[in-house]
Amino acid sequence: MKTRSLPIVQDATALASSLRMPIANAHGALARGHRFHARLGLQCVTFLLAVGIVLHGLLGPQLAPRNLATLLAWVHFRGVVVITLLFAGNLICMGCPLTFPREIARRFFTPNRSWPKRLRNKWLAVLLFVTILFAYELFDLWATPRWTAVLVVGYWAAAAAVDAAFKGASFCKHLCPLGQFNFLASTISPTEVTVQNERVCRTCSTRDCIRGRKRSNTDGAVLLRGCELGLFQPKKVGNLDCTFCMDCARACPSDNVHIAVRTPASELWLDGPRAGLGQLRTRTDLAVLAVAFTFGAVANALGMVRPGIVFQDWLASVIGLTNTAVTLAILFALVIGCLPALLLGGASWYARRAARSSDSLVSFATRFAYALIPLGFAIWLSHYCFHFLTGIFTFVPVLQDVVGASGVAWLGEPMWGLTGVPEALVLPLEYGFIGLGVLGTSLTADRIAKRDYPRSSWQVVLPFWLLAFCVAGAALWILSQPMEMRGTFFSG
Amino acid sequence: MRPWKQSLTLLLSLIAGCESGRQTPLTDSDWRTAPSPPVVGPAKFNFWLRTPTGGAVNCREVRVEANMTHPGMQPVFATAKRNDAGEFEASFRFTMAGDWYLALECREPGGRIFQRIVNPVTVHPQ
Repeated sequence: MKTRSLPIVQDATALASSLRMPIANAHGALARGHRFHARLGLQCVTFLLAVGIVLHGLLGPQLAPRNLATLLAWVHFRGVVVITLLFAGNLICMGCPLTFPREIARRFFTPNRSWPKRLRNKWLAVLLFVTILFAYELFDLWATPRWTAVLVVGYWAAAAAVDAAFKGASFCKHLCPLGQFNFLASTISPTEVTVQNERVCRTCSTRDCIRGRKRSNTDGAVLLRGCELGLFQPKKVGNLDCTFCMDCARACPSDNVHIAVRTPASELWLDGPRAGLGQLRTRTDLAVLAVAFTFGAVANALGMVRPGIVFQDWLASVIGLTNTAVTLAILFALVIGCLPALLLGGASWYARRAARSSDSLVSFATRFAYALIPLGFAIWLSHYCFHFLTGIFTFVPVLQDVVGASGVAWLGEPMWGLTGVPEALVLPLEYGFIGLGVLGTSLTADRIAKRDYPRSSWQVVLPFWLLAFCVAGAALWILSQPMEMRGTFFSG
Repeated sequence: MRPWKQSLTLLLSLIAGCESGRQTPLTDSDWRTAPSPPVVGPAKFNFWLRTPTGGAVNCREVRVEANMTHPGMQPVFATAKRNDAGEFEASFRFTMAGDWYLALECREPGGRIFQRIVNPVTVHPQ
């Protein structure tokens, strides 16, 4: 994969300085020459924001549009996530407030248990990812500030418990649903953390980027962590499983790790073993995650338009059950389970026949499942950007209200009419994203077909193109539907 | 003011401001919409507003905010006027199908403010 250094991070020294920032000013008591890394600074900011979200979610008005928990978590944060991933990289994991308590706790204790071998895959992550999507729809989390705050606290507790019990970044790598979303989406990002000069790595004997920099005396205490997600830089490819924590860059004694620009999505068609992941073509768990990511986007968007509600009502009348959990579970099983099995299985079956290949159907489906990621990301991007852009200023009156309620109207009277970009302007943008997504998926499928079946690539890729157009068509149809957002809340 | 002091002040004001947002729901018998059930488009909203002790509120106008239960959407505002029977009526337009809440605010001449909330009103497509 060809990469180019960003001008601002041409060399490691520039990178190191660009990732550092002073916390205290020149006159502050904390200013004793100490400098915290930019990541810690970013985490401090997001941690404070998260604390504010939890407090307002638990104690504030239980009206979703007037509460910072629901507003910031489900409108602004998600918008910032997808836009950052599209234009920069996985800076969301880099500034994750959930790992901030772990950063602090790790200064006092060091867990020595390893994550169980049987669970060193993405199956649990797939389950959690789908569970979060399901819970979001079932409990109308976007409309319930208190449950949003509980979710944030629960997430923190889970991350802290797992990382207190197991070595490394076990929660991030194997469990965190948001992290898995970011890992997959960041395959589309234009940047990656990578080595600057491969020759330097060939002569390296310490491997600090993975092992960490240790004290030279006998106690072997770790001075600087290496990659806790098991990504050995010289063998690392792309952004999958990379949290952009820059631990590898700090630990490298040769300052040979940097952030580089690259061709978005190119890692999806690269073959061969890669650090921390093995070969993508053999990772059925990761492929299933990619499928859940793509069709989860469809299910999530379907939940906010009338056809989704009509379908659930119809289902309830057919099976004679009015339990929303059951009808929603069936909808999810159809959209995230049956539909991809049918579409991907059908496309793989046809491609296998066209290629006259002896490879198994699962092997075909696994390899081409990664090609769905650009389209899946485009659907998420369209959906989240709609809410983010049309409601971009809605946090202003809420903040004015919060500050005003303390008795001092620093920010003036709440301007409740403030919203964002008109819907009519956002819709073409959404269609454009879907167009780019289907283009990305088609190109990726083409590259994979040419890589594995050069003689019959045209026949092999055709059914996957058809699949991409079907999913894109469904996404466009959903986006063009009138919205009908249902959601209860608990007043008082 | 130093950044950490600003952050602390903002956090404290956040906590202080939290409890003020609680609003009592209006009982179902105290309000109605026309058309019923409401659909996307113009709607009339009639309601009775009482003090916590059950007495009549002393205000001629009530500010009505209709908003979706989904955050980040465009709210609709109207002013409800009281008729001779003591019932308030507001006219506005539901812009989208889905669940809406209605927040009512009445300011009495003495400065007292009554706030009530109407639990989700499901607006149907036309």
